[in-house]
Amino acid sequence: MKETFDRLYDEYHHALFQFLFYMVRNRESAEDLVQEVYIRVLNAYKSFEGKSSEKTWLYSIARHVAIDWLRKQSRRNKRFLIFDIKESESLLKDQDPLPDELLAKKESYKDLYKMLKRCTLDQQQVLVLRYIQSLSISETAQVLSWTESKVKTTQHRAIKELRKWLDQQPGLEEELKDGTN
Amino acid sequence: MEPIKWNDEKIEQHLKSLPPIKDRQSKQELYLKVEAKVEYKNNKGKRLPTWSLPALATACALVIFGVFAPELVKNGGTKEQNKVVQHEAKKESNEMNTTMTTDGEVSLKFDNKTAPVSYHGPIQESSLQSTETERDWVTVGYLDEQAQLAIPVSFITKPNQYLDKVNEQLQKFKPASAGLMESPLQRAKITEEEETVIIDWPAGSIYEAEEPLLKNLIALTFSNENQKYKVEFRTEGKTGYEFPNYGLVKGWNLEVPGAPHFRYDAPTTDTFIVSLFSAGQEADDMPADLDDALEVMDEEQERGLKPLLPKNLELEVKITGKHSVEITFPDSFKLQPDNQEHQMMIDAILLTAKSYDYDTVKFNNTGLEAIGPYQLNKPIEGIKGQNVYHYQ
Repeated sequence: MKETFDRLYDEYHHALFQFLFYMVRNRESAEDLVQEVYIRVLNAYKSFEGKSSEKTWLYSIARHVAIDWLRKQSRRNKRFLIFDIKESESLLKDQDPLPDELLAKKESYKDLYKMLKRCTLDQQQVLVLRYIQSLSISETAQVLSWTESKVKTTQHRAIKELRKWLDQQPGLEEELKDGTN
Repeated sequence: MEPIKWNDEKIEQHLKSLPPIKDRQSKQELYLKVEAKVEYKNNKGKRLPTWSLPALATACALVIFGVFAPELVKNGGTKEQNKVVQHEAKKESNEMNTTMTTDGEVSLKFDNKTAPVSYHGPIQESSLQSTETERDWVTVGYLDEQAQLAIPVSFITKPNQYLDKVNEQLQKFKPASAGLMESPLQRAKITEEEETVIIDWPAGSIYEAEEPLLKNLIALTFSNENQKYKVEFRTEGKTGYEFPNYGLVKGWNLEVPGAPHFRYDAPTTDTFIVSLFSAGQEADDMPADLDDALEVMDEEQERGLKPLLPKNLELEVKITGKHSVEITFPDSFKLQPDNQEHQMMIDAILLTAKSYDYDTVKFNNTGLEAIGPYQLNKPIEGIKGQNVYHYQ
């Protein structure tokens, strides 16, 4: 198991963690979830048949782990809001703090990061896989079990929506003009 | 100062330049955590002593033989509806793999590996009334072995109060025999006060892994036919129950939403039909209507849920009444008699329709007069229960 873990870690860990973070937008949760991804991967590794590439298979597992977590969060928040005695502030909190890496970036990046959250889950997955992870259309389609045309359409709509929302954001003119980070 | 206009290129460049976020766990630290969790999960999974595995396999074989031997003698080989259906392992036509033939027809191929040995279908109300002995039914939710699905299992019972039937089956049914885990409800004292179900657990009864699907499991048990709408929790008589993650909870309102249905193969030989609600999806995430639900039923889902509708099958849905619907198959697809996968497809459609409050379904253009227990030339109604388990 150690050997497999070492190889997968060296080849994919950075990318998987990035993907999880940008999906769940919380570093601590991404750190927990990446463990879950390795658990599922290592348990299923022997049965991996190579029908898809190892890379897209790993992303596909990470995607399921992230979606499961997001749904659980959604359910939990609803329950706390409706019927529970204890209200947990952390569960009801809308936004996680920006990671240090992002705090160091210009406002335009922070705005884009915030706007990403307004996209649908499908759109977020496509944007993260296509642009942040640099997967091809074909690889993205494999990870999501979609057709390539659905990936393209979702990507197009997502960019269009982001553009609409970002155009409504004030105060980005100067920094975009100078073109620096 | 003119406002800056974002364009597609700028957005794409910005997305590509979002900063990499570092995992603060070291490789070694991460490995140790993963290793510990893998071992924990593996040990947790070893619920049965090793000697029991051959015994379980023998028991399964006896159960299958027990079902078919008398049936073959009594009915000359005709299978009774909803009993365990024997997989014709040698037949080539047993895989849910869809292909589009050259003339555009949708066809199904069946894979021996994926075909079930023990399939638990729904029942029709009429079959409960057709015998001399009065019969009733009840549904109880169980978890699959990975605690990833809440699976409703129905039982034929003697007529009784709903909660009495639930309590009886919680004592009687051994979920491991069908590849399922024990229900957290088995550890509870379940009573009723003015239409509210009271679930009383000793403290510490619910494992963390059981928590995420607990509400679904309880809803499937008490509200699968809108029998009850509310559950309240107690801990040895005191109000509320302290869950590992939810904290102290007084109770929940119950609802089983309309949802598309899929196939789940347990690690044993058992096959069930479950909805996306069983996989933990919220009512808000479900397709809005039956038409939309049927659209997604040809797609593989998370948590091992497999489609029962072939790809490219376009069903026409016509609402004919408040609770009735007509579903028309395309000319390119014909149901085959004695095809278990096709009967499962009909079951899944009926269960999905029922979940959207359509109790009566008329199928058109199926190419068949009947399949399994269903007469296809007239409306099918009164589907009750789901994944009916027959005791031997």
